[in-house]
Amino acid sequence: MRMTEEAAVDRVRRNVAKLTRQEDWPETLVAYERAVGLMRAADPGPGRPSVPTGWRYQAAIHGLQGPDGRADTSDPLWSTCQHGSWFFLPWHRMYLAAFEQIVQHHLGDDSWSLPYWYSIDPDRPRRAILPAAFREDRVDNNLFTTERSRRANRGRPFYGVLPFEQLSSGLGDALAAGRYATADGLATFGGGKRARPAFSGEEQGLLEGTPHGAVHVLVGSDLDRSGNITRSGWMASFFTAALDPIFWLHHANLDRLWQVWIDLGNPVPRRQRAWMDTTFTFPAPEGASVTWSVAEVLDTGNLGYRYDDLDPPSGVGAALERPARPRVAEDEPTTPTPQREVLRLRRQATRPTEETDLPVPPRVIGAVSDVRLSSTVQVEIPLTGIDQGRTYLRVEGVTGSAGAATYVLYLGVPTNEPPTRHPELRVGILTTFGVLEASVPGDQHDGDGVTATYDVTAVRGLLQAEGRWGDVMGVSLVAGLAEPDDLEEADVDAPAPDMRARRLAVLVAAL
Amino acid sequence: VSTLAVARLAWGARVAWLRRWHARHPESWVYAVAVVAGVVLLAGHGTATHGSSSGGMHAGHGQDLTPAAAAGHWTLMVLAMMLPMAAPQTRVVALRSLWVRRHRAGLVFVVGYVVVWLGVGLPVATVASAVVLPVWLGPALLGVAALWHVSGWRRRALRRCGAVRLRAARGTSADANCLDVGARAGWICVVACGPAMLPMALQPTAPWSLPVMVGVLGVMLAERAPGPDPARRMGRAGPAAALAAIAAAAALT
Repeated sequence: MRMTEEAAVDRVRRNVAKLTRQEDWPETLVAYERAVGLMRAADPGPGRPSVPTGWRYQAAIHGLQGPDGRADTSDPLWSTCQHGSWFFLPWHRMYLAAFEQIVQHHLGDDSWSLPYWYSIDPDRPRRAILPAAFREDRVDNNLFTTERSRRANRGRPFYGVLPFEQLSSGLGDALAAGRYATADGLATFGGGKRARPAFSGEEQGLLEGTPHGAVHVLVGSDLDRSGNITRSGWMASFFTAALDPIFWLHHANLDRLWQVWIDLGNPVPRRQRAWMDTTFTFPAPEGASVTWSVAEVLDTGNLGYRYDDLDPPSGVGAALERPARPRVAEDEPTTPTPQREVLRLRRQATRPTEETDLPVPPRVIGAVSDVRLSSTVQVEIPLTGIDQGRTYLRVEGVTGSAGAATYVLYLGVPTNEPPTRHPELRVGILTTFGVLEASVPGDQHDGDGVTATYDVTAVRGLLQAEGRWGDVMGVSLVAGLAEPDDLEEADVDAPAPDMRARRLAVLVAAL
Repeated sequence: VSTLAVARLAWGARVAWLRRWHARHPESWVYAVAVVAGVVLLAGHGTATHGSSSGGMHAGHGQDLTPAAAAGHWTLMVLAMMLPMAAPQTRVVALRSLWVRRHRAGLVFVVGYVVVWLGVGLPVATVASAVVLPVWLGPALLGVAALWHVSGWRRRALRRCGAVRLRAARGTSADANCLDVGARAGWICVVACGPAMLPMALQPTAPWSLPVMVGVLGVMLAERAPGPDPARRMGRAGPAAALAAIAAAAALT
């Protein structure tokens, strides 16, 4: 089945926080819980998932680990998730749309819509808590699983003691990006322009880092006192993430944030046929399959749904001079993004453009190789030439099997001072979701690891103003910590962290 | 005066555009080398086939060139046919290296890439030049290459063609790294495209050699061309069928 005709928009995907304001189990979640149960019942039991409308098969489409530890591609529809490239957002949009059809099929209700979990709402930090229905520890609750962080299942903020502002500013940075993709290795909204679809395409977009990866790895992992992962649940791995029912609500929110970004006036690369005309196939009910091209899913109306709220966070809207529409009065108080953040975003906002290629490529002005992420010593990058222009820090080829869930990156922290005392020098969060999978060579990639890029222009400006931008740039990495209350005896011995970045590079681009 | 000023402005704009283009394409010299090698190859091929036409083409091939000439032919063929495959990676290596040493990094990468191709192909070409080979061998090997084209191993190799693992930024360790990245890329390329190149290494003066060279180059470029669904184009039935057709045409030559 190939979608050719425009379907009418007849469904609305709603914010689960609003749905659950009055009751823990609104009708949408009751139906979802029932559908998950039916899909699990459709699974044939242990062994290869063989029923395309079953829960485990649906999760295997995202990723399934083979006996050799690599992505299992013995079924052409398995392990087809797209990460680290410009296909990340459209592939997941299609995946969710096909999943929604299957849930509707199980429920016999084609009006059911997936709700979304706006887990990092800069205006409402209190919503960074797993919805109650997903935490209710009953044997017959299909939305609950112990394969999550204890922190999240206890109803605590899933991010632990990581300052919320670090996460919300990550979302702000993503929404302020003016470019969807580029092959030039800069920070973009959607990910690196790549010639080929890939399970792990190496070049993350900003949204894919935070909130996407951050929520995955923080909801999915227990941490020790140093922030290292002691136990990985389903959400923490490509191979198991879609087994957790919250996965689908998390990705519905990312899909919504893509639409928010487009509504902010940012264009997608419509002239890139390599992106627009690439197709992906998913199973559909009753043995059918559905194939969409990227072009066909750019408008969610073509898939039959829209979102109830596409307003950007207030700080982002103000920074981009596109204030949000007046909100309907709600009983939950809002926490406006601090003005400092607004100003920072304003500086960072780049002119929206559909172009994926820069007129002049960015220049690499410094690099160091083989950086241990768990090192407490500042990494010094010698710079050649002090070119002017937007400045970027690229963390290239992160590989390894053990480490922290997140690393916060700082620039130019004075010697002998803890980086956490200098939030103004923070440039972003590196999340380690997908690092393990990207470290093992597979059918579709060479084990080159995860690459993320950060716009450090604002911090550079700050350092230059203080006369501290010189021939060497210092980079500090700080592991995101767990909340002391969540630490248990079993958490103490995490595997020795071995995550490394192949290279840290500093680039300057004249945009 | 105003006409002169306009002309100067236009000239300045053209120069600026060229500078930007050159900055965007530090790999352009790779294509230039490939074109020159192709021209030399064409000229040399005309001479060789003309000279060998009286030397018993139908009896077999391989004996028409001296070992040194066969080695030179293989080298030119690698430069003409394989450098265009390596050019996109050369660009990535150059642009991801320190700006001040981008051209050096690209050059060292290409050296590593070509050395692998020469290391594998030169012994084959020189030994084959001393042996009389049946005329059908080349087309038959090309048929086998068509089968190799649709194998999973080949597809995996092709998918890894774009990998670039740059580490060191400066000094000899950066050169060694670029050389290693080039050699690795060359080896993956040998696995992916070596079987299709083998007939021409063995029988460089066969009458089908030049058309097959052009046809194989076209197939390899087509499956790497940017466009939608590359994973479904690469190493699939279409290019393999094209190779099989080239093999059949060569057999009938």
